[in-house]
Amino acid sequence: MNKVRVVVVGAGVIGLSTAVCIAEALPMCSVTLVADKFSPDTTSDVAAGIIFPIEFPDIPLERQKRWIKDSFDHLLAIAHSEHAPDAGVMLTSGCQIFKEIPANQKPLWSDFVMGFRFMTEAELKRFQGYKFGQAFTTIKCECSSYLPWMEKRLRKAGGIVECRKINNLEELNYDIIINCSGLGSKMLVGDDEIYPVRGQVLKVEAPWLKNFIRCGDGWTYIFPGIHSTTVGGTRQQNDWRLEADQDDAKKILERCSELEPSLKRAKVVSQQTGLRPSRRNPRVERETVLLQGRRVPVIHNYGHGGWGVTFSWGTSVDVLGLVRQCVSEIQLKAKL
Amino acid sequence: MTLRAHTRIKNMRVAVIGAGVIGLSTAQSIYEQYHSIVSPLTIEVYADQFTPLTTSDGAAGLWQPYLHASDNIQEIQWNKETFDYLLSFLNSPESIKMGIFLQSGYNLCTEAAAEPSFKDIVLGFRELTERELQMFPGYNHGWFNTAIMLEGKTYLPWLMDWLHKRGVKFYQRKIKSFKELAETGVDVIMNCTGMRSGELQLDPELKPARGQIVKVDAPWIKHWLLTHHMKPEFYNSPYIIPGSRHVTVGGTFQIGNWNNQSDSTDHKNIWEGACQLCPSLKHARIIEVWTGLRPSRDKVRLERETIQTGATTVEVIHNYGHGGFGLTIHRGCAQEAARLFGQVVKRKGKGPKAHL
Repeated sequence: MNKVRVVVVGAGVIGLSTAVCIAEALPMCSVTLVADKFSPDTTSDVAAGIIFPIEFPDIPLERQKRWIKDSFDHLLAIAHSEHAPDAGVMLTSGCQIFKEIPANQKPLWSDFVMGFRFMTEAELKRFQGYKFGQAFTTIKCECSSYLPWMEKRLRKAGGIVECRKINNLEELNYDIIINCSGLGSKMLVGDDEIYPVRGQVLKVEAPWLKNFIRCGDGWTYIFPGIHSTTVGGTRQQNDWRLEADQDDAKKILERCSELEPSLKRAKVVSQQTGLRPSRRNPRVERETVLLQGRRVPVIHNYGHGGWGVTFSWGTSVDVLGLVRQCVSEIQLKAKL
Repeated sequence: MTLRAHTRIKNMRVAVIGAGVIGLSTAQSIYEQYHSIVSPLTIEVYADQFTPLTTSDGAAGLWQPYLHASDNIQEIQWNKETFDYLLSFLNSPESIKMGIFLQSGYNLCTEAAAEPSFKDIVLGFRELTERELQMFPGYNHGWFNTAIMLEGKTYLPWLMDWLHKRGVKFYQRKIKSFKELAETGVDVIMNCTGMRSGELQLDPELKPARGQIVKVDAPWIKHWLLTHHMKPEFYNSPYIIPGSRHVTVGGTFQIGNWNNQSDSTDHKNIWEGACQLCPSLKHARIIEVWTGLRPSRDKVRLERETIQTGATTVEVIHNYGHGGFGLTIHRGCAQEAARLFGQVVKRKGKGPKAHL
């Protein structure tokens, strides 16, 4: 029997995770990954890559929990293996601090990170003006290493990688199409619900920083990484600018230095900007599209906003389930 | 001490022997507490080894007392004093120049153990969860907390600079006896000679606890990991302690072993133990191997002694025997040593011929 031909559009963390997940699990599929941008030029490359979930409003909680758990378990296994340095995956501990006590002190994801607890008085003392905090251990997944590592994994599983810009699904001649084009879905599949949330970050050299600090409002954060520390950020809705904004940079450094004074002695190594592919909820679902006279299953996996890395493996596993369904249908049809 | 503000003691000479963390911090505390009371106060530091060649330089720099030293109230207090002192610098950009930063980590035990003395001193102390323990097969109990790192290779130069700016003089010279210094007119000797204190005054309680380490390049490791195999010796099982540049991997704690050369068998055991604990270390690049001798003693010797040297007497304040917790306890001990120095100053204030 011929292999079922699957194409994944997009080579960010979602596209690569999805492609690897399918290629490794389904030997009856041939997987081709097509994208115009690869690491280090994807949105994922800009992200600090911290597993830090959010609760989406309209997706059943059980499904979201599965997404978080699958992603965390997958990355934890890598963090604790000899592949960790190549894959750019590491354990990271730190805190999230709030100026006012939040309504939900113990969010949904508190069960999925490790050692979640409220900060003590002594720990909060360092942060003038902050009344509440959560401390926990999670994972950092640096896409500038992770994506190339996943690409190797994809090739090892027999996957093929093509560099090509897809402007229309009609250009694709495959049995199953998986759309992981992030913000590109606006054009590619005409989704008006997706919009950019601009994020600017600076990478600084501060090897003495080991723990992360994040403000509850999501605007100020310090994430120590393998070769540099990411400080940020911004959350500018519907802002398509990819160039660095010097005023943003100045404000980021000021806010972060207030939380961590030793940053004043850190050298700025680079600046980056990424457009978070934001949507009310990520779109992880299947539809059937008429392309060149054929009814082709199109599975969407995009719109993860600032939580791509966090939900990458979990949503990929979800997509795998949908692909299995499609494969059964195709194989059944082939028999008839 | 209770000297009236206008009382000025004239002219005292203090010689500190030893330029590790204990010697330098002792000099600092004496200066801080007495430079406006004793005038002139001449402080001299004598050592044959200075940073980066001291024992303090090789230490990983994690602030943590021994797990089982919970009965020595005095030492617990000195440890706490040191932690709080270091913590107070954290919100200043100077912290990095001093080699101070925070780092969290895991204390892993092979069996249930009593909570350590430092549980209320460090930040965010808690028990490890099931999921966390699952990451470390073979360990079924343990704790997580945030502690302070104090890197000797940065702290010692900072201390020397601090002292130098205040007129403290340094002499590269091996002191062979207290008499040698007493004969030059030194009033007080601070004996901070660590492992080699026995060369100045025999002390059967002072023993080396040999520690061999390997420093590697593994910047993806952001937590310290200490294992405790519940044998009487401490640090004799794997530990991994990231620093600001490199990761220190150990551990050995060989009591009575004076060999300060690194040993291949020890290296193999240390490395295998560490890789089992932390598989991501496997391909880390090795930077160097080092061996240090912890100046171990049942308890720290911190006391004043009057020593007769021929026709003269000299006051000696001993401050040595801090084992593997020198950086952890240094400030508390230095402050206490300075207080003991104060006793000498007070007596001097009573008259030039006062016997102490």
